Amino acid sequence: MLHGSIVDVLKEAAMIDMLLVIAILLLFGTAHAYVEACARLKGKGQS
Amino acid sequence: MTVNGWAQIALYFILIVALAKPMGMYITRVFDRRRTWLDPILVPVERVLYRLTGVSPDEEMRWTEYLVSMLVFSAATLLLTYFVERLQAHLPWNPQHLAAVAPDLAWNTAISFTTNTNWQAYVPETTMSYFTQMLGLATHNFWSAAVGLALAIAFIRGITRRESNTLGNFWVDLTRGTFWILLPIASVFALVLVSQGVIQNLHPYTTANLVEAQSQTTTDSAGKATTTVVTTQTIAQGPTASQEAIKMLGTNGGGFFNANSAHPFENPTPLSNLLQMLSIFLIPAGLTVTLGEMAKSSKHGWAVFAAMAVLSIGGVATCYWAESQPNPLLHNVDQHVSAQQSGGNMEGKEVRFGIANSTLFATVTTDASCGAVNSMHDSYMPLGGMVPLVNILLGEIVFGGVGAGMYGMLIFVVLSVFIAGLMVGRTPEYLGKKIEAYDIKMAMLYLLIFPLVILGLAAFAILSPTYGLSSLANQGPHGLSEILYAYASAVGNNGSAFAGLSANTHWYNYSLGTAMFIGRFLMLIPMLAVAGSLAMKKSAPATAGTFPVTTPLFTTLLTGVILIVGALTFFPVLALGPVLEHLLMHAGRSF
Repeated sequence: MLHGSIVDVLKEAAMIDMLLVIAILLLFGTAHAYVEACARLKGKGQS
Repeated sequence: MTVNGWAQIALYFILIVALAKPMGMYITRVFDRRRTWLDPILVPVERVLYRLTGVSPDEEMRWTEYLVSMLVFSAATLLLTYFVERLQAHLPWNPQHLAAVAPDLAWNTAISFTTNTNWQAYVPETTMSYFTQMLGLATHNFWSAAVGLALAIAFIRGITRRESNTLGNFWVDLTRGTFWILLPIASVFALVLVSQGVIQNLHPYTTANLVEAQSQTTTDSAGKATTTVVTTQTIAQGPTASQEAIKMLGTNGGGFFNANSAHPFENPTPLSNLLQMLSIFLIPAGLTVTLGEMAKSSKHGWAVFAAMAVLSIGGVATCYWAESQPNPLLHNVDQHVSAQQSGGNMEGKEVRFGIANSTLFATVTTDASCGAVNSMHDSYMPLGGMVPLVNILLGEIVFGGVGAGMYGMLIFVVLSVFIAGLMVGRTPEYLGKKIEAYDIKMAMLYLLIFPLVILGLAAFAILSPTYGLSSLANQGPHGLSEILYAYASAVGNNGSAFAGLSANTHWYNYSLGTAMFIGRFLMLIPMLAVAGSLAMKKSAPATAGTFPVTTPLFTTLLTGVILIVGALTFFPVLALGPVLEHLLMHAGRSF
């Protein structure tokens, strides 16, 4: 059940969406860092 | 098992062999940017697209740049799908006035379709508007398949180029894969499906009057029974054929309806069923020929094809045999084949497909990372259900998903060549290139992430009554199989499910969403690192001591390595799941 005014409900929905978008960006940020880590490992192997 | 059933299975594989070469040759031409018959129409479109987006088609990318471009594209399209789902109540083509998709489910579904998994923790006809199905989901069926195809081509370039720092241009590969391969074939295929009875409309759902009224009795938590008389039925409609075609061709698997390819509006006839199964393997089988063409060793391509075919046929044979056996728990029931019945285990299967075409579909959809189903895998006999599960746990490299199967298989090829080199005491070589420590480290990263995430998350779910077990319908080894299948399907980007697990909970939506992300993106990063490393190497001519990758010996070694790696990793959990369930079934217990 939803409680409070429609504004509260919208605020709550926007908050969840913001957190999930941040989670998505964090996942892709981790993937990008992983690319960098794999590339650095190659650099070390060559030196 | 019947001769007719075997004949249909044999026909399927004959057709795949026949289609592999023309498809593979065409894919090679498209990605080598050689002339094709579609060029007069598509080249001008391609030029405009590059001009609008600022892409320089002749500018090649290093493997890191290629991956970052892919990540940016995937992140942008994932966010688009998420917001389409969340805002669908305010968007057009929503005749049923469906509400916004819940945040956790929208998150899970957006990741699911971006990663080519198409795991569906929702009932499409009561959750997704036509707009969401078309713009949010069907577009991803094209994009995720095109991304997989581009990555496979980049990997093949890595092993075939010499002393090169680059693997191609991601945006060009994405565009050509979409416009030259996926869109034309899917368009024609959609029309063929319409000819078979697959629906394609934007109508509101139809309400039909039942011929005979039905009484439904429900009991509430206080034990009070309520009886309702039902006189009408709601029949869902929608733009199904256009989504169905790319769902199979792109090895996506996300059904327009909850029953997926078992639904008569998605897969109405035995012919539509055959065409759907063929379209799953069409591009993955063709890519083995592309490998041979680009490596200038067609025999190597066919050797890889042979390893895939052996594993696939072995899976079908096991599954067909298991499902044709009578269920020992059903006493005094005639379960033999006759003119009146299929015999064996028909639970969860469609009469119009029968056992042979259901087990073939189940094997094909899990060999590839498709995940579409025309029968319910959870209703299979324990050993029959184990076949789809094992296919996913082997990494879906038996033809595999569009692109994903090929690059997964090539990682196993690198590993096989490495093992062969160790056996004879020579530096391992693959197509004239030395396989060194960095390549094997990256290959092992690729191989280890997969079981680590599946077994780790499944173990947590099994040990957690609050999160993992609260939405599980079956106990014992069958319950274990259901949870294991869910995580295997997510990490393997397959998307099919054992029923019996209600996955639309916060825990499963978030954990499976994360598993799908890891299974796609964190696996393909080390894969492309191997490609980037191999592209930079010199190629030495083959000598008498070079391990040949074109012979039956190579095919046998490759098949053996795949099976041994899979068996060593997953045999304990399979023993506790389907194998134990099989033994207990013969002891008179079911779960």
